[in-house]
Amino acid sequence: MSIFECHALTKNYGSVTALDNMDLELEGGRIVGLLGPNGSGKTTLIKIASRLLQPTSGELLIDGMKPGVATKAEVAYLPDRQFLPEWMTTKQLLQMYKDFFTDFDMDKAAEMMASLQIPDRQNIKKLSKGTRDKVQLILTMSRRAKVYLLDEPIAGVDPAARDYILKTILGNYAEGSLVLISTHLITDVEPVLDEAVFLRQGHVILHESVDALRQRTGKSVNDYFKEAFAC
Amino acid sequence: MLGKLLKYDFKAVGRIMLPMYAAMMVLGIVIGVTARIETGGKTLLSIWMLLFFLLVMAAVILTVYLLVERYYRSLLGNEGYLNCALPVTTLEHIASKVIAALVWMIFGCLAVAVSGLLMGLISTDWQDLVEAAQFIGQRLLHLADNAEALLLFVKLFVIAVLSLTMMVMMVYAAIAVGHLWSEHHILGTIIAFVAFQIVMTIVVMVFDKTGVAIHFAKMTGVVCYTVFWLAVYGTLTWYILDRHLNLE
Repeated sequence: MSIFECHALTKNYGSVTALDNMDLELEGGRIVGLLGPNGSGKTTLIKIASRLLQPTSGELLIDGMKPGVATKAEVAYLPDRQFLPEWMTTKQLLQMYKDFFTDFDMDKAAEMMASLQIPDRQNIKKLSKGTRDKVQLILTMSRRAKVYLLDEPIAGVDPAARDYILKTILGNYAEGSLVLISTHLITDVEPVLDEAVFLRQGHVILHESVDALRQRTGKSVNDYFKEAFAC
Repeated sequence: MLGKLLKYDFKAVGRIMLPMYAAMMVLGIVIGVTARIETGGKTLLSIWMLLFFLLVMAAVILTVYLLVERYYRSLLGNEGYLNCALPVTTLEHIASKVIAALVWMIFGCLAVAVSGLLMGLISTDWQDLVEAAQFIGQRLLHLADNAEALLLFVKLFVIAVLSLTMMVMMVYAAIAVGHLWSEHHILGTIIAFVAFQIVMTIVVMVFDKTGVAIHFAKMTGVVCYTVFWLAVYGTLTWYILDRHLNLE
């Protein structure tokens, strides 16, 4: 059974269709790139999987279940924006994750925070934007989740931080789980991907293993992407 | 999970309100001491009293602001990306916010009451205090004898708490409705709030016409009326947050 399935998944915002009758099946133990230009439906798909949005029709199943309390316990979601409560300290945040997520590895999170020299009792308000991004990533990747949904984890950060983020994702995701990374910065993530899913206007236009894609086309995923989405 | 949500909802507000309550009580003590020792014009006492009044006003405004802000920011703002992804039901989220709001309002009243009590206790002569305590003690004993009065007191308390809960729920429902607009959330919230008032007035008027209103004079009627609206606003809030949540 696929750990992540979409069947005729559709999402309309008023008259705008973000996801159009989408079918997609993803297996565990893979790092999958959800690739597409802005407005292709990447964030909408991830938000439906995190149950922050309801589909208009069709269904999305995670580990065989519709998004809800049970799937939220299995899904580690990293949104494409800053979501940390500013009034909390880093220590309180770690404790909050431990309180709510049984799969949260406190020691691992504390270790990662220490390696980045993020103070233990620092107020989130006083952290720089870049540091907050790293804290969010640490919180997400310290879970032993079945599915990781990472929405644009490397957008808007400098190249050095990109390397750190990708290294953290690769080095920490639970074995056998699915890592879905949405991005339009393909060159950076290409080396870590097992599979690529191309989205265009709410449709899956390609779903293939990265190796097979390179072999078939004789191009890198990035070059192929540029060709497929040429304006 | 409700307990865990409450833990963080209390922390978020407590870090601001608890020091304020503490300041209120310290001021209560200062006023009591000043009243006891100041002779003549009582200028100092007036200044302290004014400060106390301003502090209470500030606490009331801040409580209302924080209860709205916490609800909006943690469920509908950016923090919603964290909170709405927690393995918690929408009902638990709403319950936590409403319970926290109620408890903070009650805590606020208690803080003012305790401050007032401190003022009274410190400023009053020992002899008078003993007399007052005896008087109150007798009254309380009398109240215990009079079951009917006690029951009335309990009923009024229940109605007050229920009405407060309903009002909080109505505000939260209005904010949820306001959030359905893709822009102008505040305007949407105000329109929803006014619309709720109009609907409630119309419902009461219809009841008036049908002659059912007479029952509302009775306490059970008031309880039913409040619980009804609590359920309506609660369901509306739940429906929007659970089915039509659309974080920016």
